Amino acid sequence: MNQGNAIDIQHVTRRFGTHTAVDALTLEVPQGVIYGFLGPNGAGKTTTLRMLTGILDPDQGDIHVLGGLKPSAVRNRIGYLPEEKGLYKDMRVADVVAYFGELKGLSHREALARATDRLQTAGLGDWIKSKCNALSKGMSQKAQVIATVLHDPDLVVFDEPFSGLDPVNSEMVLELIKQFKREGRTVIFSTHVVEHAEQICDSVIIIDRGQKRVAGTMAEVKAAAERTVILDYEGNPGDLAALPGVIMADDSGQHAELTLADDADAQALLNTLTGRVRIRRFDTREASLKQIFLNVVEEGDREAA
Amino acid sequence: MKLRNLWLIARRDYLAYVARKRFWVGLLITPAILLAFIFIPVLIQQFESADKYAVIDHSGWVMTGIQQEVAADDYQRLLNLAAASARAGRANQLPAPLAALAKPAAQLTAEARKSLATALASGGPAPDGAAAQAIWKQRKAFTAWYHGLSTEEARAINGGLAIAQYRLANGDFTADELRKKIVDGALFAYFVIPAKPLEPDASVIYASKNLTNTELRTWFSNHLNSVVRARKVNTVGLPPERAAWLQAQVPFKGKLVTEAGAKQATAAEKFGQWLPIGYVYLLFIAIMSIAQLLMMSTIEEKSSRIAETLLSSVKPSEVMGGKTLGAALVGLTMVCFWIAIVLGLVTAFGPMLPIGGFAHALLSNITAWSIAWFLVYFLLGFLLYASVLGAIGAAVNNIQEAQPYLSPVMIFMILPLLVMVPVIKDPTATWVRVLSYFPPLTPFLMVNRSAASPPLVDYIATTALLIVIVAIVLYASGKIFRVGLLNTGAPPKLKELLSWMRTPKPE
Repeated sequence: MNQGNAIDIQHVTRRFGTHTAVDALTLEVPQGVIYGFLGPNGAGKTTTLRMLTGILDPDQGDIHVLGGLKPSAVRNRIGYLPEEKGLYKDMRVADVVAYFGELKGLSHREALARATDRLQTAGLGDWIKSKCNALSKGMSQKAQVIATVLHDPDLVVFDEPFSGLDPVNSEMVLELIKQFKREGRTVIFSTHVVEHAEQICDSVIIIDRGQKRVAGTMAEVKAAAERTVILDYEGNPGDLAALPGVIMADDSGQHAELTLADDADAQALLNTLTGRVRIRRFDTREASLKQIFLNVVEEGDREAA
Repeated sequence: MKLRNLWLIARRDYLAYVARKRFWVGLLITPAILLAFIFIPVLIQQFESADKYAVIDHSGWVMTGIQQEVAADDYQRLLNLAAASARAGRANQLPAPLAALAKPAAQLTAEARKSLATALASGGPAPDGAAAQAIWKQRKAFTAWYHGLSTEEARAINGGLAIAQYRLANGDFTADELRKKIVDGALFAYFVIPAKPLEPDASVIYASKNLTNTELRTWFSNHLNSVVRARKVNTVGLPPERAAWLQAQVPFKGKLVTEAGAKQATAAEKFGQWLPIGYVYLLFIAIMSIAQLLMMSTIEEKSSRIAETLLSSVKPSEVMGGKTLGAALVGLTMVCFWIAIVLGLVTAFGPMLPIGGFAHALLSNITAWSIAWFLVYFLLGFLLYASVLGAIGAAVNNIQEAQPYLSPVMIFMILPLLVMVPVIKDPTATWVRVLSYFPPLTPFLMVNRSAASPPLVDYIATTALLIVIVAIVLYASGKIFRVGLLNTGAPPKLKELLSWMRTPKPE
């Protein structure tokens, strides 16, 4: 366990009745990064995030955040935006935002001053004194994000922050997350839209059925994934699958798709092939995060079946 | 549990309740509805038509006697009214034939007015004294005016006249005709007086569609018996004074037994025996309305998905505790507001209305002891019902889903209202004592019984039992609250609720 970690999850299990939502999960997240939680619906993302923010407790295992502390002990240094969220309809916008800040330890005066200031910066200056039920969905979402981080938390946790947002508002949230990173905060967010994660995450974890499938920096995850080579050729190459570094070959005579081992050297493979056949196309491609995600889920489905 | 969080949540909930216009409208409407409950029956009586009745008199003399008695009673009331109006200088507000009698009537004693009324009804003998004779001279105009009064005019005089309430249908009818009139609704009832009412086995027939309303029958029976008794006295040859002595009722005087000993009950003390009903109402309305407020605001937090945001900042126990405190403060505001209204009305209108005596009785029966117990029961009763309704609010997603859970709770909520009046009539009954050991009823029944000074052991034992139950219910509903706030799926079945209660506490 690294004391400098923003998050340290060790062998955590959480059950609801007979259903195991999170199964022996272990994960470390260093401070100051943007970390993506990927997984299909029902994978255990929300349960994990709720445990990170002290809303739920694990049945087994330990969770520490912000350098070895219990989440429930540092609620005031965490900002959490749940997937399903809302505001008090009858309250004024600035009052609600300030109220959530007060619950995180800000004084009434400080909370109200920050709420007014930040709502204005976000372009909601005209709505400060309106009741919340007058806000559009996008404006309401903005106000909720402002409320979530009003107390300037060191750890920001967003559960599905992009769900239900139009492209403009999605872009706004992406920018905000990048800004939090620049300010030195750690941002954890879950999503099932892989493109968003690919765009801004330093590291990701893919979980499925409560278990960790893949985790690491974006480069590590991609490097760990199987690479493929698309090969178009003329001549007789012999058994492609027997070549060094190739674990699987789908050869149709002039066109083949080769799956490479993790430590395979694509350059060496090319050299070997050049001596045997005339090569018209040699295309190595790095797997996209989406492909990795889909592979993981498919694999999980196969295991379950 | 952090006090600051508790307070923040309580403050927000409190301000959210009291900032609504409908909260204050409700505050004003509740006492208005209560007043309406009191006054509407009185108003309805005002507009009710008089009960019309007919009599077949086979004796030939009883009905004449009854009509004289009824007239004598009404004359006496009118003379008393005239006398009182003259003394108050308001004789000019009376109808002219009555106003003409006001001045001499005021000079007579109550006894003299009574015998004058009898003389007027039976046509003699002429009375002694200048004032009585002045009235006697106008007897024709006066009696003619009286017999010409319509029901509405008789009511307008507001002197409690018999003809304002019961009207005799004049004429000779056969029983068949009368039966038909009753079926048609033209008649309320008819009486058949036997030929020889002095015989030992004589009986009067009372015929009506409505045998549950006994007012007319009672009234008529009193007069008939009085007339028949007078005839019996006459037949036996008893002197009138002896007869009066024979018939005189022995009066009963109410004495209230308290720890200080028995003493004559004052009007205030008699009223004080009924005062607990007011307390029970106040307790009931305060507890039930704020417990429901708590449930509604919990449902709001769940349905608008604020609950999870709250839980990321504070503990479930702080959410529940803060909301309960907020609702309790709303209840306190309600009760204080109503007390202020009552005291304000009493100060402003007390001297003008009979409510002055009412207020005096109210105040003289309020002791520090009763206020202290009222507050104790308010607090415990509120905690009991609020924690149950709060847990229901946390378990469901909207008010429709809450209905099936509310129905059984509702039964306990209306029970205290159902038993309120029987309890006040017999506050020392064993069944009342037993029921007051049933915790959901304890707060209401103990307040209900307070007029009869229940033994201290009952106060202590019922309260101790209630505290134990409140602690258990608070614990269980805290568990439901914790799990329920995050449960956005289908509302739980009873089995699931029980398993929620068993989930271990975190930390």
